[in-house]
Amino acid sequence: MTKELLFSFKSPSRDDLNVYGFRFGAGKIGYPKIAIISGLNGEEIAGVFSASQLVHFLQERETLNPDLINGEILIVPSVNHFALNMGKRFWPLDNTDINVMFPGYDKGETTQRIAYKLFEVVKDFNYGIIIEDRKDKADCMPYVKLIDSQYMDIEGAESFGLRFIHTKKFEPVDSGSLLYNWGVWGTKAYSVVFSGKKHLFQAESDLVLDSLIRFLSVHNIINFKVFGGYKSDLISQNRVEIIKSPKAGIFKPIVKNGVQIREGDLIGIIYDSLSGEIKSQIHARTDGIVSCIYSYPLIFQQTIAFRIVKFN
Amino acid sequence: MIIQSLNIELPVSENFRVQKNRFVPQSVSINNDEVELKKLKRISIVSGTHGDELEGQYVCYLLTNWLENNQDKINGIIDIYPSLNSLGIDSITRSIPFYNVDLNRIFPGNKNDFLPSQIADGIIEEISGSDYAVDIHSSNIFLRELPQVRMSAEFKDKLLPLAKKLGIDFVWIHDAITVLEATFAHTMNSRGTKTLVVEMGVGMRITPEYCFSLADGLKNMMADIGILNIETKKLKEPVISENGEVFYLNAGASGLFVPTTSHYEILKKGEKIGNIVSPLSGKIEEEVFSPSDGVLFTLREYPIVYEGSLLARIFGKNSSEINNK
Repeated sequence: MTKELLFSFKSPSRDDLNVYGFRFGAGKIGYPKIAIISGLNGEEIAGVFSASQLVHFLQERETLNPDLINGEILIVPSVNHFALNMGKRFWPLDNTDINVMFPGYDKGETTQRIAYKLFEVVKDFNYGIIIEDRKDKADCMPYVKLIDSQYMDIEGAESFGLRFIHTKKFEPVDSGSLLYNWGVWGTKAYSVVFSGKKHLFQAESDLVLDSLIRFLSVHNIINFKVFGGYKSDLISQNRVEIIKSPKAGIFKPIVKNGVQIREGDLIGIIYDSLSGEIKSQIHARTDGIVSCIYSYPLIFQQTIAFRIVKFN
Repeated sequence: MIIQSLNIELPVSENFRVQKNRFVPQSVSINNDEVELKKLKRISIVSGTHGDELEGQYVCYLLTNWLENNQDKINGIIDIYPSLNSLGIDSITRSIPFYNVDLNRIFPGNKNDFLPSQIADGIIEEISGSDYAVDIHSSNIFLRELPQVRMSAEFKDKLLPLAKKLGIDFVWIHDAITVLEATFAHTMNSRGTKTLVVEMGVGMRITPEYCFSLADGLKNMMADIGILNIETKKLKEPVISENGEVFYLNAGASGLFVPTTSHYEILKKGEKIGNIVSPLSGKIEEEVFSPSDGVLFTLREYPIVYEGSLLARIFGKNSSEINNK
């Protein structure tokens, strides 16, 4: 393994933004190259944890087995350290999102330049994985996200062995995402999405780490036997039942992600913030599996409180 | 008449709302004459999509104040929405607070998505059906902008004649950019409402002379399209970006940007615009020069810069128009 300074960016007063990559394997002919990126945004702490744990795992295993790596693996656990180090989500000076700036522009704005420098490093890989969270305040079961386009690779997504693969309808804002641009440039790309804005969620982090190792193993990038994962279900928006909060107030979910529920089950309660009375009880409208739950104690009216993957 | 057009309950004893002030001809009742109202031309003037942009607040005040005192001049429906992102406006927050999402990047929105997307959907539903719309932006806190209308080339034929009635300094016609398809203006233009985007001044401040000028320009435009019964004026013709070239000056170094010239100056190629200096070392990190003859229509207002931060934009070359500013 080598730890490489991929690029550096000078700050007016802070330390330089030094973006490091951990490279494993020399890329034997006939074996694929993969890049794994996390920490494009400063709230994606769980993604940083999973990616860095993968670095640790590979480093440890490579010590035990020098023939562990067949292909080439580049892991970049964090890009936006400036935001991570101050509890911000986006680039701290101008609040712009690096993950809408791809493929980047070397003569453009700061985050366009950061995107450009990163993309120059990772664009020619066979496979690309970005670990990210959802934009909204929701804790979700880890899943693979694909943008529904000519570039999506469902078969590859199945090799993570996660329970769900979600095909997301293309929206204009996706045109600047790393996931989409990898696809445009010929890389088979996947987004692994899960929770972790404020907490680590050990079980989910372990699941994501497992799924990354499984992907590397299935694609013969590493010589390592793994347990089989789920036979993933491919879901699109119409398989997801959205349950919104009928009232605003203090939100208490009754169920956890991953549990099976039946139509009519009580799954959440909303209390009046001042009187403490129950303002609303949220019941499931379908049989299915809870895949995402709103993650903040205060909830707005008409906010998505639960996402339920329907059985059919 | 002030009307609440979007109303979402917040968790603790408050409601999120979008409010508009609706003006109609004196001969029509807002509440009772649905059929009559549908026959009228309608314009929606919106602002406050970004909570740190306040120039539009003053323009809305000026217009509303004038309309209140000139109700006999009203020939159509004029809806004025000063604060689409009302939570942001009241808290100096550019994006939608709580979610940190730029409202002007998630249109047309979706009823089944998270709150910002529901707000976007509600705004589009509310304003759809307008014949015209004007979306007034300031710049952000970083840049000072000359009053300008921005439009995508795909809508140029419909929008340029309208923009020329505003008496504005500059019209910037840009290529279609996919990410801008998620803006309010693109969504409305795609749905048949002729929608202009005005950009002027700087974030968190008002520039009264720009606001007076735009308020007059809006009245003139409304007169031209028959919504106001006042005489149209021959206002100044805008400079059109297609007649020259827009040069971007991005910082080549990080540090403190100190301009050595003023906004809206006419520059010669090679003329100095400013320095990027290091407060720590006491050295000049970069001297910034104009790459072309032209007018400095954008100038950085906020001094801290990273490499890549936009310092200035110059509309350059040729333009005899420029010399007539």
